[in-house]
Amino acid sequence: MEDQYKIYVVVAVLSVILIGLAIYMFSLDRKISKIEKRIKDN
Amino acid sequence: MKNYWYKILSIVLLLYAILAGFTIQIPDTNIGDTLRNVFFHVGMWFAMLAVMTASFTSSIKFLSSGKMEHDLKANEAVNVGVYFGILGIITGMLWATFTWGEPWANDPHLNGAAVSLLVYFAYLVLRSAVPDDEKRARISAVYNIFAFVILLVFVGVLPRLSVDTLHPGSGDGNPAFGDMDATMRYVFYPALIGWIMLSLWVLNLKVRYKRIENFIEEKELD
Amino acid sequence: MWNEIKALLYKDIQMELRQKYAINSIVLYVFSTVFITYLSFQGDIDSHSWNVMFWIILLFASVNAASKSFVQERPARHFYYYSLSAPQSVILSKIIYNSIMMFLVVLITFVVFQLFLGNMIEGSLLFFASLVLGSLGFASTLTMVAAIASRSDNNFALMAILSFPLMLPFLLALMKLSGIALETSDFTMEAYKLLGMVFGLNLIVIMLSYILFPYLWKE
Repeated sequence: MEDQYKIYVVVAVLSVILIGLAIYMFSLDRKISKIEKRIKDN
Repeated sequence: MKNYWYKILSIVLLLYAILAGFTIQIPDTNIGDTLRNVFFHVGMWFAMLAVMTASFTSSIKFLSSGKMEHDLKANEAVNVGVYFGILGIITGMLWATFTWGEPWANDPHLNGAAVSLLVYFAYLVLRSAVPDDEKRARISAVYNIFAFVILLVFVGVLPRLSVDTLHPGSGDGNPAFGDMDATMRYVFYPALIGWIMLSLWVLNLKVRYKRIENFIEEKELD
Repeated sequence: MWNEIKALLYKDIQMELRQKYAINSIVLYVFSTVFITYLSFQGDIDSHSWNVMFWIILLFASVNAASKSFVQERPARHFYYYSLSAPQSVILSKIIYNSIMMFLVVLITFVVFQLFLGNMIEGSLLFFASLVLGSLGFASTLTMVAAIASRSDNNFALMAILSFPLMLPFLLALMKLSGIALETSDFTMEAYKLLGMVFGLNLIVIMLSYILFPYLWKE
């Protein structure tokens, strides 16, 4: 791999991290919404 | 999931910041590629400012209405803000070690940021010192307002008054980044907005979680 | 409202003159700390250290003084006095009382300092201005913090934790101001900027205290 393209490895790593975190936060958000709905309906 | 537009937007903007931040052409300075840190380190501080502003408004709302939900939001907001502030300081120290040779320079901007964080730590200590809910809410709301004013003084006013600082933006110019190259601005501003929205999302989650926790505690006490 | 302020102020001053509790303990505190400083430096002190030590000792002495201001009376009598007057009068009278007290503390510290560590001041007027503004600034911030701390389990540690960060802008500006005063007797541009800033901060703190104290007061 040419030296100049190595930066894209960093970009890829960080994107994976960000998307992983995003998925995590979205799932947390959905879990909380579910509980809130249960509380409201009870 | 409520209000999902800003949550999705935050992720999109941050993804853009990562993709563009590393690939755009940046001006040739003596710190080289580490300049790209500015898209991420400064974001931490702006996130903290945004969340502390939310805390400030919640405290004011509490004092005028007396509703405990505002106190809950003010408290959680300080927690989130302190977290981002600590990240800001750590990333700053990391960057400083490679740029100035030492993790902490005796610089008014840095010291001001550290003191502002101390003020909010004192807020958390104050809250732990008062057992009664209602009293605690009122006292911490009053202190929070002072804390916010001090925060503004330290990050906005004092750095502009000093002329010999290592940190960019001394004298004239914004204390965060001085004057910025035009290409970088196209990544910088969206990145900031992305970080601010992310922090508000974290705050939103924490507040909702705490509310549920309180609700369950009350149910168990019955 | 001015009558209420005068009455409350008069009461506080009378109580102090009767017992002299706060004044005595502060004088003792200042004396001991300055003496320790003198012994540590062994008479060989430069103007920069003089400046720094002066303001640090003053910082601790004033936190000490202010923490006593809200614990003078028993809570029952507290209630009685303050149910008669508006909370704004209470806070303003406390601020004025603390300012007078603070100015006395500042003067005492200054005199004791000169006794032990000598006089190094070139610009007396500028220094005096910094002392006056400093005592007002310390007093207004500390009165508010003391009011907040008195509502919890009022110990000195809490008072210190709460007040140090809030006092830092004042402290830094005043140290710089008196640093200038130690060198020269001209009012430089920077001196004016600093003076303006301390004055502005004072105003902000007093205004905030005036607005926020009634919320603290509701019991």
